[in-house]
Amino acid sequence: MIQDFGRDIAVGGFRGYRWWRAARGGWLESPWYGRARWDPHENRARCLVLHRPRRWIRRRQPVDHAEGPPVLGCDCGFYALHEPPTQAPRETQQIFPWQTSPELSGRGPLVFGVGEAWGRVLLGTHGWRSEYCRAIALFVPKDAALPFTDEHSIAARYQIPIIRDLDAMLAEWAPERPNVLRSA
Amino acid sequence: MHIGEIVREVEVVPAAEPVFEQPVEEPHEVPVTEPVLEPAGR
Repeated sequence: MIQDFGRDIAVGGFRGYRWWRAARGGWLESPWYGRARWDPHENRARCLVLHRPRRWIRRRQPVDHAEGPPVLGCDCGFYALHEPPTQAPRETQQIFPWQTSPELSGRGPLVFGVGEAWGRVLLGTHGWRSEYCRAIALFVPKDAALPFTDEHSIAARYQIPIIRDLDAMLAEWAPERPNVLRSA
Repeated sequence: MHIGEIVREVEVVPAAEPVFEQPVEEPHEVPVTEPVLEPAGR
């Protein structure tokens, strides 16, 4: 049974921590599922989830739910976390690859940063799923080794700050912790 | 990502870009004087 929460209204974007894949030409892509290229200004989620018993697989073609993404009974939407992820054991990362320390941002194609959500947002105890999202800040250390592009190309394309110090990014761009339990 | 238990649904409206209005000058006060009636027949 799907719970009906009603829908609150909020003004301004919801921030959250997430990963992207830095691709050729300074593009950011969804890192694990779909490899969708991110527009600098506005990205609207489309459902890639094909439900099967015990697991889900990716659809060949994205679809739109009638009520718009994200849907409570589905897994679609752009994802982000309220808190930076912590490093998980390697075997856990094979299942949950986002549980990687932000300190490893830019040591390969993955970059860690802050996304801003708007539109329909499903707020969870640890993060959110959203209808719209865009990147607003990235952490790329000075000695980064991005294999397909460089941070200057990303900054030029997305017009967002590339922050060299993780603590500085967390201090300046941390999400305002939403009162997630207010109506729970 | 695992975002935990969904507890709320929110419609997030982007904040509008700030609009900087041109300053509007306060109108100068015009002193109001009592009408002076000229004596008739002058």
